[in-house]
This record gives sequence, structure tokens and C-alpha cells, in this order.
Amino acid sequence: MANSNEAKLTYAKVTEDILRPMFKSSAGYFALLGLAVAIMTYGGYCWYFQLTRGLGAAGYQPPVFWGVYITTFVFWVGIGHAGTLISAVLFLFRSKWRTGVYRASEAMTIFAVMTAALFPAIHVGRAWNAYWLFPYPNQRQLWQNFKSPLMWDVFAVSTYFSVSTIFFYIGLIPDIASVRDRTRGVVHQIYKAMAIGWRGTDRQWRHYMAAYGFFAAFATPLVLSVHSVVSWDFAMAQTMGWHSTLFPPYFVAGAIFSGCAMVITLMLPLSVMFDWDIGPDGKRVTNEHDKYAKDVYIGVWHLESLAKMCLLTGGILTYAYGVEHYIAWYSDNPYEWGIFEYRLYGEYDWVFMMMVFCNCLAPLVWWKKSWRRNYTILFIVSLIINVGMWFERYNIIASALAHQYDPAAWTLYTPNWVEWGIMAGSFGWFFVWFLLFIRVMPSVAIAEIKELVRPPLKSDEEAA
Amino acid sequence: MSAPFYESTAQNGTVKGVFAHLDSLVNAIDKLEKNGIKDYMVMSPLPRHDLEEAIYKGKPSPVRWFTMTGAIFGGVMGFSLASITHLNWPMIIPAGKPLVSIPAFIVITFESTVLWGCLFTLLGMILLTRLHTASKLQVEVCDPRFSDDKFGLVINDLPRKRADDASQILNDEGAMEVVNGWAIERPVEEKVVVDENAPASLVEPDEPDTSLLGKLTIAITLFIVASFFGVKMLHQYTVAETLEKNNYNYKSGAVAPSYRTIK
Repeated sequence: MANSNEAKLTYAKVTEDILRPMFKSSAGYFALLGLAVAIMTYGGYCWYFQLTRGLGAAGYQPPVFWGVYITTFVFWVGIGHAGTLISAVLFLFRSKWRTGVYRASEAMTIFAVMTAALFPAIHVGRAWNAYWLFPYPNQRQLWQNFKSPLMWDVFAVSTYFSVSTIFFYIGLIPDIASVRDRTRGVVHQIYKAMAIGWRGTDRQWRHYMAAYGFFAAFATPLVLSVHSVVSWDFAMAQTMGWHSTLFPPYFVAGAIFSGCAMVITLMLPLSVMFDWDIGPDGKRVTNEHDKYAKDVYIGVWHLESLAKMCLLTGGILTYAYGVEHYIAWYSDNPYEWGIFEYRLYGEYDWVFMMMVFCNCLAPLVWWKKSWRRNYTILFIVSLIINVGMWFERYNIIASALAHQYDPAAWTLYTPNWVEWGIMAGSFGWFFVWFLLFIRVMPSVAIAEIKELVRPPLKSDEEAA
Repeated sequence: MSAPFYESTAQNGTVKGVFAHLDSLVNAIDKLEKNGIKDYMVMSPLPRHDLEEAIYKGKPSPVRWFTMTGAIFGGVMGFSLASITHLNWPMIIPAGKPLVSIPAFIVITFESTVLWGCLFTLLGMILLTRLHTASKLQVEVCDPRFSDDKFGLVINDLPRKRADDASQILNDEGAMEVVNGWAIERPVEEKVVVDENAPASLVEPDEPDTSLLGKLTIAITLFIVASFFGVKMLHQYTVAETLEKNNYNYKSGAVAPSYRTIK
């Protein structure tokens, strides 16, 4: 029962703790932002180079016309999945550890999908015609082919982006109102406009919570559908190594795997930087059995739960790799098995090895409890998984296209500096958005954290 | 936290209570209801089911009707978009593929269902929470403490006697601050004149405006019916008619004839 001597989390402390890091600048922050802007600018230059010289500037080797751009596109769409999984699916399951990390993960989702959305435009070359992807009435009465999986992908990714953005912004409104009430002057006016009149009245909360549940219910099937549709970009094609019914579950598991790893990569430094792993007694929480392990905003409990998600989905992924190879061998189709043999022993064998090491072997260290609670190991392994998931997509795309049916058309595709530059630039673009976000918005959901705190009750005080 | 830019200017007839404890507020609401005071607003920094239960007695929010309307509209629209455009410019596969292919269009239908369901839910939420008119909310409601750690209750348009009763109830239940508009002493020249014909928008009406929902539902239904007729008409005036004459029935998914037989 409540003990007045015990350190407790209160509503006022939650508001204060979460809003404290906002608007505070440090040299380290600006150095990171500057680095991100520099990388983004270099990526922008590479894209400019490609736009002015044509798609030939990229290192495509016929018949390989899907390379780093599509690999990076799939990588970023995959990263985006963890945010919605955490914010919507775990919301419906009433999972408590999601509350601390969901806001920043959702922001990560939005920015990852924004990054991914650049790549179809980069990949098609004439980016100024990218609007042709969307159906609109035109005088030639030309319409898209809605039977094409590429068209499904346009719909899936744009719907995912719209729904995630709505869900994200709706979740932010009560917290923006908290910021509005604690600022003055021009800043106050900006947050006032963004809070669109939120006052936390009974009527507002009632319809808000009902709507929030529906948004979560809509976003849940989207988590599964978007990467299934992305996988059909490949699986619907008659290309050996792609044409498989395994692809949708395999891609969804991979997306959640990479997304959760990215959440660890981003949340861990955030938590340490903003002191969000300090308990109400003012001490840093170091392990899960600490008395206040569940009272910190982002701590070892949350990160360990994410690591467990990675272990589950990583296991599914490893199983999928195995099944994929087994079915290719068992099918007795020489073309199909040829691609898989090529992946294992051909020029791309190092990509395959990278993929297996990073996605199947490295996360295994997390099976040991003390290692998945160690911040250094958590951070390093999450970085390795991110690298591995990029190589997985590269392995699928490049090797299958380089060795198709006709040996006369076989080639070896290696990306050139323009492609590497644009890929690096996409990371810069992503981190610019993310760094700006953590400065100007509360990166932990204030109202939802308050829901976890025991409300102030007169009966408690009387009992004490 | 402090409330630096808040100043109480409660009008005559307005009673405001600020609560530090949730159970005191719930008790106060129950007592007010027993005394026949039902037109109040409750502010809280977080959603609480016990508050919602005390105020709305478990009545679900009508947002769900917006969601359902939007989802049905989106589903019909997605499937119609894909089917109509394919019939409008038929891509005939000589080996035989249906023009309106249900498995292929399921993805577009699903995405459109989700997108429009969400957009309608957003619209419903904004209209029902009155976010579009929230800038007109009275100053007592806009207390910065209500987004931090305090709960609030505001009642309007009470005659002096009833306002005193309400203040008494709030005080008895342990409100940390009670403001009664009638009790504020005002200099004569600054006295606020209560306008009998003042627009009701200053005060939140008791019941949600369901007539708007009804109109919207009728409009959407009409649109869906019209879009069905649209598909039918388009079907009649496109190549689909020619296809049917050549014994191709896209509805049953029969095999399409080759180009040669159409000519």
C-alpha cells in the first residue's frame, strides 16, 4: 500500500521529466545534426548528379535494374514496421512496456516511410513524373494497372504513411497541449495552433479514446499487409529466388525484426541522454529486478522486451531462410536451386554470409539474460542487425537478377558511388528528421505514461 | 507547475472547481447529478475510465458510425476504382484473364477501406469533440493545470442559489479551489452583462449533434448507390458491351476472346 516515505511517480513529475529535455541544446546535439545534414546534402548532390545525367549514372548492369535503390526502399519500409507494431498492435494487447517507447518509435516509422518513399522516385529516374504512379483523371483516360503488384505497393505504402501519420498526430495532441500550457510568446502560439484546441474535456477524451482504438484497429492489419504487399513486388514475378509463397510472412517477420532493432538503436542513447532511465528515487535503474524498473520512462525493462521481440522474429527469419533453401532443393527445379547455390557459393557469397551472421547468429547472444540487459551488447547487436537486414534485401534482389535463366545474360552487379551516396544520404535525411523531432516534441507520451501512474486519491492519503 | 498566464474571470452563473484527487472528483460528479446538475464539463490530464463511467454511464461514443461509414465507402470506392478503370480501358489477355479480377483487386479494396475508414474516423473525432470550435471554449476550461496534474469541473448558467449549492458540494467533496462567478465582487463599470441571447457556442451543448451524423450518413449512402449505378452505366457504354456480345461474361470470370474475334 501507499507509503508516504516511498518515492513515487506523480503526474506533475511525469510532465516535468518528459518536457525537461525539450528546447535544450548542447554542442553534441548540434554536432550530430550537422553531421546528418552534411550526409543528407551529399546524398542530395548524388541524386542531382543522377537527375542531370540520367539513370545511366547509377551502376546498373543489364539485366540487373533493381539494385541498391530498391534494396534501401525495402529496408526503410521494413524499419517503419516496428513503430506501428508497438503503437497499435501492442496497444490493443494492452502491453505496458510499449508506453515509454511508442512515441519515438512511431516518429521513427513516419520518418522511415518518408525516407522509403523517396526511393521509387529516385529509382524510376525521371522523378518529376513520379505522380504518374497515382490514379488521377487525365485527358488520355489512361489508368494504372491495378493488377500489378507495383501498383498495390503504391497504395499500400501511401495508405500506411497516411494512417501512421494520422495515428501519430492524434496521439501527440494532448501532449502538444501540455507543451502549449508551459510556453510563452511565439513558441506558445505555434503549439497552440498545433494542439487544435485540445483542453482535455470529458467530451474530448471520450470521443478521442474511441477514435484512438479504431485507428489502432486499422493500423494493426496494415502492419501485416504493407510488407506482404512489398514482398509481392518480388514474389509475383516469375524470377527464380523470388517466386515463393513464403515471402509475405518472411518479409513481415524480417520487417519487425529490423524495426525493433532500430528502435533499440535509437531509444538506448535517447534514454541515457535524457536521463529517462532514472527512477523516482533519483538512481539509475540497472536491471529488471530493480524496485523502480517499471517506473522509469525508457529503461532496461523496455529495451529487454524489444530484444525479446527481436529474438522471436529473428528465429522466424532464420527458419524462413532454412525453409527457402530446403524448398528450392526439394523442388528439383534446376533454375530455382541454381539461384540458391549461386547465393551460397557465387560472387555474392559474402553478402549471404553477412546476412546469416548478422541476422541469425549475432542476435543469439541475447538468449543470455545478462547480455540482453547490457547496454553495450544491446546497442552493438542492434547495429549489427540493421546492417544484416540491409544485406538480406541486397542478397534477395541482386543475386536473383544477376543469374536468371539465360547464362549469356549473366552479369555481376556492383553499386557505384552515386548509389552508395544516395543510400548514405537517406540515413542523413532520416536522422535530420528524427533529431529535429526529439527537440521540438515530447518523445515520450505524457498522457499515456500518466495512465500507468497510480492516480492521486484522497483515500490513499487518508490511509497513510 | 505554476500557471503564469491564468486569471479567473468567471462570469455570473459559472462555478469552477479544481481537484487534486480523482476520487473526490468522481464523488463530486455523483453528488451533482443527484442534485440535478447535469450540464458540466470535466477536464483531466489523462483519459480515465472511472470519469467516463461517472459522466456517460457507459454509453459508447458515436465515432464508430463514422468509422463504419468510412470503411464501407472506402471498400466500395477502391473496388469501383479498379473495376471501372479496367472496364474503361480493357487490357485483354488473349490467353484469357478476367477483366474484373477479384483476387487482384482485394489489395486495392483493402487499402482503400483502411484509408477511408481512418479519414472518416478523424472527421468524426474532430466534429464530435468540437475541436473545430474549441477556440471558443471559456477561460475557466483553459486552465494550464488541467494538462499537468489537476482535474477540473466547470458548470455554467446556474442561478445564484443553485451556484451556491454547487460550490458547497465541490467544497464538501474536497476541491482544492472553488470559484463561484456570483461570489466575485465586481466594480459596477466592469460588471459583465449576461446576455440572454448569447450564442450557445460559449457553452457546450448537452447532447452531441447527431443530426449532422445523420445527414452525412445519408449523403454517403447516396454516393455509394450512385457509384453502383455509375459502374453499371460505364459498363454499358464501354468495350465491355462488345465483349459481352462476343460471349465474354466478365462477371462469371469466363475466358476472354482474343482480339481477332472481337474485331
